[in-house]
Amino acid sequence: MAPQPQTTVARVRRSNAAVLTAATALGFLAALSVSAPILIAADPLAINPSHVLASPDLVHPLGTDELGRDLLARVVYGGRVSLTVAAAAVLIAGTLGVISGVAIAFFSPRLESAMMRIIDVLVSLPEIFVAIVVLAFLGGSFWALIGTIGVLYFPQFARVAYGMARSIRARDHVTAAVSLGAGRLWLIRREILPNMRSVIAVQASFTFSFAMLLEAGLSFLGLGVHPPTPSWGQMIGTLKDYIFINPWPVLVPSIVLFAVVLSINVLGDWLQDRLNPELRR
Amino acid sequence: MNITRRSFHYATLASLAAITAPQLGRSAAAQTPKAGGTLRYGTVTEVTSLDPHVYNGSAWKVLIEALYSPLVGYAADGTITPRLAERWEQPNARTIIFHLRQGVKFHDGTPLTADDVKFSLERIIDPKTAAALRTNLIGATVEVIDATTVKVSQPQPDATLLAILALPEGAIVSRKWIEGGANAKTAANGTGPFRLDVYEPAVRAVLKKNPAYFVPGQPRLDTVEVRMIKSDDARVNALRSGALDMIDFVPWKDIDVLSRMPNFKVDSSGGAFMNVWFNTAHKPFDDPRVRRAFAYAVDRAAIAKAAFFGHGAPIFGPPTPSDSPFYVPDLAQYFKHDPARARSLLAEAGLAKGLDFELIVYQGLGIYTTTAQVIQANLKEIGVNATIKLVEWANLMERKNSGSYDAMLYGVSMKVPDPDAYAYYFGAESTYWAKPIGNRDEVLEKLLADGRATTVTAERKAIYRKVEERLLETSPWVFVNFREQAQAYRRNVKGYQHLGGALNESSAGISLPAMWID
Amino acid sequence: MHRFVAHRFVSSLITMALASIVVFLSIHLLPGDPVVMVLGEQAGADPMAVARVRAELGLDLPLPTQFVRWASAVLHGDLGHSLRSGEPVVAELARRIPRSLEIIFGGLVAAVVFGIPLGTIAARDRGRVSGLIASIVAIAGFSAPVFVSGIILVLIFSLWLGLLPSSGYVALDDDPLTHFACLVLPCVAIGINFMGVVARMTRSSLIDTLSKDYVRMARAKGLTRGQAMTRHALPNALVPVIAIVGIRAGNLLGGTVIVEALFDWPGLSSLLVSACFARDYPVMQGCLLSIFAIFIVISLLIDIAQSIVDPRVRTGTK
Repeated sequence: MAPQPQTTVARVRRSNAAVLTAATALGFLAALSVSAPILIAADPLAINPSHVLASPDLVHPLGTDELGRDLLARVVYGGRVSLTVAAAAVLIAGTLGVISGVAIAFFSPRLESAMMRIIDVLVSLPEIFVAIVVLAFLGGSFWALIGTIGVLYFPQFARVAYGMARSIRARDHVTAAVSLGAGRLWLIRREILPNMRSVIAVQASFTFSFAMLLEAGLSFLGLGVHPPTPSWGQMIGTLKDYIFINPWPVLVPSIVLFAVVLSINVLGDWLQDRLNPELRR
Repeated sequence: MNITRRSFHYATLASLAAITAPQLGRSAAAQTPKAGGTLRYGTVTEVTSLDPHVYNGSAWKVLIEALYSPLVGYAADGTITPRLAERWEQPNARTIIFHLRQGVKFHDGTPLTADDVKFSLERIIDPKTAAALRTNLIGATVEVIDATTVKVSQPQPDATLLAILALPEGAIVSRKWIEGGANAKTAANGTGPFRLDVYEPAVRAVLKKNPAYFVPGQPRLDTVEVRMIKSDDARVNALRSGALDMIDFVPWKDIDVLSRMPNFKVDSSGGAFMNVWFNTAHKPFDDPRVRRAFAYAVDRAAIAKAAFFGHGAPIFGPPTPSDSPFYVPDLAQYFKHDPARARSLLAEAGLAKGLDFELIVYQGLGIYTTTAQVIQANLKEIGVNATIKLVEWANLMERKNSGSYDAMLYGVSMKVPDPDAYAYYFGAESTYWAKPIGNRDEVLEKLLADGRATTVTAERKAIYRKVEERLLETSPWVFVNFREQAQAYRRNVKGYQHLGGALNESSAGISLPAMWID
Repeated sequence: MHRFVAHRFVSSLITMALASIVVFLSIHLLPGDPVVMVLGEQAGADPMAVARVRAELGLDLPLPTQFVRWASAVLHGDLGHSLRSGEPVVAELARRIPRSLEIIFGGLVAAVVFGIPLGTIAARDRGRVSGLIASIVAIAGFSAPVFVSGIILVLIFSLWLGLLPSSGYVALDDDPLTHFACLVLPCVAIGINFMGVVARMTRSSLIDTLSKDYVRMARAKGLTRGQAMTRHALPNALVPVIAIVGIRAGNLLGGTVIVEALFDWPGLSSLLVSACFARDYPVMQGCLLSIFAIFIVISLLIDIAQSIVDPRVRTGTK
């Protein structure tokens, strides 16, 4: 929900141990998600009505959910959904944002301020409210989630890309190249995009965590993927109803989600410090 | 689903009470009703409109029963008792003549007249109102004979007319008040035991005693505070912490927990029931063998266990409770969980390889998603791939009303305590299920018409047995299980009578005037 | 100064107008029909009744006509009537908005009360274990999704300690004590996330200030580290923190969606969610409009406040 990386910058070097831990955790999880069908024996969809809401035991190392399904398998498969949605949404938002940001900076001198005003309005819109309206009408699904979240976060990329493109455009050697007759597309390919990489990477890392949180929140409200397909937010939303019977199951996806967001934020801070040292005070 | 089984039930209880009465002498003395006090009632339903003719959820029934009065009503034993009409006669199977009580006044002081009755019933029939009882009363005429006498006639013989008019949805409103432009959705002006003091849609309602209520000595409570608390845990915790005296829709997972606590009482009985609806116009669900295959594939016991924590009695036959006089014991085990049988039925229908379809499921209640996922797993065993599509209420209604679905998981209750309730869903004119998908079953329609035309119970029993046989044979719906509906209350709440079947939703409304806090 | 305020005010109005068009179009262009909800489970299947109600609601008119009707009514302060309850939308909003503001305000208080000391410790004890722990708590709070922190709070304070209600709402005039008891967990849940932001901001701002000459001077004058911190560094360091609290306060409104759902609190967000599910168009429009208005007003106030503090903003060098 925090759109501005600038305001969330940790201006302090974090110990490398934390970064290492975060990176390891994320890498481990990503590896687990990718290789889930090989590593996890349990079927995330196999129900067992006589063994529901169980705490961990030998057969189910993380316990079972409200239908007796293996929570370890569901958390891993749910991670695939959550991470894929976030990654795809960031890809959409980044592509749309960079294209529109650069296009505004280069191709519409007259409309520039008006366009940016619109982008500013879009950035200021509270994403979750718009997402609720759209998904309540369209019905939640994997693709609807990706599309909605992707489109909602594109203005932020557009703003960053626009700012970068403008500042690069104003650099001396670029102005010189333009006066010598360099084409705009050549300029964008040779000068603008390569210089934008690090800023966009930082923006992407933050957007990834926001997108994941938004996906989780929407799924929590029942606007996400449809059961029996798991996603972390949806698992939390369902299992919270059983918190007074057994608090364990709801904690499993909650802690995993928390750990992942934490890791991404730690890495994002680190990336910010490394790639954009000028933002550091 | 019936009128008389309750009388039997409670007669048994009464005789039991008579036998044990001497020993209970002292506690019986403590049972003397007290006047005054406040009942804080927590309900799951977010009542968004108080229009007395347009159904708006279970708690709406309670509120309407408390604020308004119909011509006749149900007593706690399920028999029909006088309300605004002090007596009535049925000269033939089409007509009832009601004689109104003298001196009844609406909450705003206007006296009740026969014209108000005519206005109210015509308001129900008017399609503009979208009233719950409209289909039951289409074609009925209401005639004012004199200031206190009204004649209601149906075009055809109708054994269910009195039972219909006794429902809270048959509330009598004031013509002057409605025509004066009052918003009946947010305000109330009835003749019921309580008047409306505060109402915030979907959040709360406060009712105050109507001192001019026509039943002497009632109501006993001064105030009823209804809080609409959708979250199950919030409702249960509010009861446990003492913030509420009584709650409805005790979550299935909490029924056993609360029952074991000494200071609470939990009353429960089968109410609504869950079904899989087929669109019989869509292939392959036009084939009864496919539908029956589903009926054999569903593991009802697993659903009762997983979704209802043991409080959802499986329905292997028709959805008639075993204490009903219309209950047919030899139909009760018609289906069983038999995947092999299901597979062979599919093979007979030429679907040995299985099939794919979309199951539409309401997203707002955990029992729906849980039940759907068990059904999905069951169907997988017979080679059927069900894709669950969760939709919100508005979308569900749209699909139901336009018939745009293959199959749908849907919970219903019998609206009338009479087996004619089947007509509400399966009758050709039923906009509820049959009409939008164009389902016609002439055999069934004929049987339903016969059942409605006769008032002889023995004949009706034979007819409705055939109705149920036909329904199981053709399986337009797979009946899954009863949702046990439970109310929980503190021990000092007295006078509550829990009813089963069609009157289940009305239990609190029917008991309310006689309830008190000890 | 006045020119700047006037300019910002006008541009806010334009933004609001744009937002209202977006609101109206998005609701009307998305698939879905409010009529069935008006008619209910049974009558909704009658095409005649559907057509009649659609005409009554004016939904059969061309979209631009509908928009003009709606917009002119809105300008007269009329947001229409709820399709479900028939109640004026304005009345419903007037009840719901204060309840959401209660949560936001409580969340802000919780964030500031926990966040500033946390950030101060993190800055003061930099390089020590206590400082590291404070930093970890801050980033953990910042990373915890609202529903995760909410569930943990329910576990601790409702299930294990039995101190606070796990969810629910009681009107203030019914029972003030229970009202506030119900408010505590949602506020803390929403505040924990924001606490992380406040703490991180406080820490970096304080570290920055501590290296300034006047603080060094104070230390040289013989003040202890703690005294220099509380008397000189902290007050100055808090200026940017307060700015960030203001800027981000609007974001808390987004957090209320989850919190109101989790704790069953009948505020603005839960009204929007239920109206969406019921296709109650007038209520949806009213909710979204007020949410956007709240955001736009907050950003207007921040801009004006900043222009008072920092005159450069006015001349457009921002």
